[in-house]
Amino acid sequence: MFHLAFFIYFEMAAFIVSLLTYRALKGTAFRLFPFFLLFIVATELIGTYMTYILRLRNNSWLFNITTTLEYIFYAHIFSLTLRDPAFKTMARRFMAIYPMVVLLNLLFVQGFTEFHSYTVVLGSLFMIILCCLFFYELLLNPLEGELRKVPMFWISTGILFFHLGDLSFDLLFNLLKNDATGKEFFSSINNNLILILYSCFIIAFLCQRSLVKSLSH
Amino acid sequence: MPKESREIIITLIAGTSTLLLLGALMISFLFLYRNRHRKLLREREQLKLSYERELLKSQLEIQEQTFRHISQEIHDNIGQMLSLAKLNLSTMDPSLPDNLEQKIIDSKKLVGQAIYDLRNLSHGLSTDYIADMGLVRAIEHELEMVRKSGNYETLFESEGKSYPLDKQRELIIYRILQETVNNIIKHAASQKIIIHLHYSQEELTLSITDNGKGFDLTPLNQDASFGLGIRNMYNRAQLMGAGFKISSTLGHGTSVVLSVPVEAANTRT
Ligand SMILES: Nc1ncnc2c1ncn2[C@@H]1O[C@H](COP(=O)(O)OP(=O)(O)O)[C@@H](O)[C@H]1O
Ligand SMILES: [Mg+2]
Repeated sequence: MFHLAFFIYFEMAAFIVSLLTYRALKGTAFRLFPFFLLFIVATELIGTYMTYILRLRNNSWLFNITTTLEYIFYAHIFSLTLRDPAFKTMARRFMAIYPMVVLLNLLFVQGFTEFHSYTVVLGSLFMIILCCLFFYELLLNPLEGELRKVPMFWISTGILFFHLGDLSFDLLFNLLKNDATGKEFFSSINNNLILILYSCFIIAFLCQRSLVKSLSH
Repeated sequence: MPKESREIIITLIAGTSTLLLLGALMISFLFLYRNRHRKLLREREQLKLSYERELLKSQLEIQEQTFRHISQEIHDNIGQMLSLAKLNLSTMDPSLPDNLEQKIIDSKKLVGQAIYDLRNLSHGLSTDYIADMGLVRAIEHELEMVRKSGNYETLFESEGKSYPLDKQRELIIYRILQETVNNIIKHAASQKIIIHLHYSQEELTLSITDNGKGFDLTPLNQDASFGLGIRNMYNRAQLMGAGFKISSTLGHGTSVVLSVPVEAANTRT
């Protein structure tokens, strides 16, 4: 039995909660979350398997695929929850263009065996912008319930912190990639951010469920 | 640890913490601003609700006063006249033609007066009559009823070109006027009631003055249970964004001034 990173349990917990609250998520922008989380958990397990059992040094390609899909998935959620048609279109355009940009980066700039840090910075910035847009719309509609009961508020908060926290590392990636201490530092920050991210997701699912309950009563 | 590497790590930590702090600031700002905004909106909603409630109450009170007036009118005047007419009819004696003719004439007069009064009364029955007549006519109507109910000398002047305000505010103004006049009848022991209406470009000013015994205003500021009627008028004036002033001198009389800005206050919309 190999050792699983602590945050993977959080990701699994988020997946399980999304399954348990699926009835509440079904008709909403969050309906694909269980599949997404299943995918995340699966890739984490495959990644761990590759590093610890197969002793593969480089699993960048797996990481590249996952991050790209994550950004597309988050953009999809935003495209459904943002109200302004212009913002929606922006999110949808991103979903279409981003994978092509990543592909170009992998083909011509950073290479397939490398972590695609340039396009990750791009994606992170875009995620931060989407979060800001969502918060901006929240400001415009102050009567829409208390913030802490709005599921998408939690999801955006998680996404915002995660990407703000990762941005410095991704920007410094070229300097840090051969620096063991730097990487260690980063992964301790990153692991905590993952905990925050998936906790936010869990809270959001529970909010959504109580929202649906309060509506149906 | 090589020096260069340390610098990079410090940059990494500094950058990450700055960005995270930024995120935290953003979220806190969102919370603060939204809570304040929500509170504001809720307060405005509350104001609107209490305005509507007071409006409804004013309407009911006006109706109540109208009904009281009508029942009194029917009992004191119309009923009297009809009874008299009936008495005339039942005491008619065909053997006394002189008397008979007079009695027929009297009865006709009485019945005619009763019909006239009834018709007048029924005008006041419609709940929209203030809006239909306009404030000036409504005040005249009110004063007419006051004069009928007792020995009062009333003076009413309207200055400036009159314009209609919205229905709701005219209703509240009218109710405040009624309440003030009621106070004069009840407490002032005054013979005179002077009403002055001034239409200016910015505001409508209504002043109601009596030359009665006046009263001490100090308990109004001290004892919250004193002067509920006056407090109520003040409250209603505030809800429609109007000023309400009362002044009184013992032995000389009391005066109430209501000033209503033409521009509707933002609580109503
Ligand atoms: N026009 C007035 N002249 C003399 N006293 C008055 C006049 N208006 C009000 N007051 C005094 O102020 C008191 C409070 O009036 P109000 O709040 O209308 O309550 P209420 O009429 O039920 O007594 C009255 O009891 C009366 O003593
Ligand atoms: Mg009173």
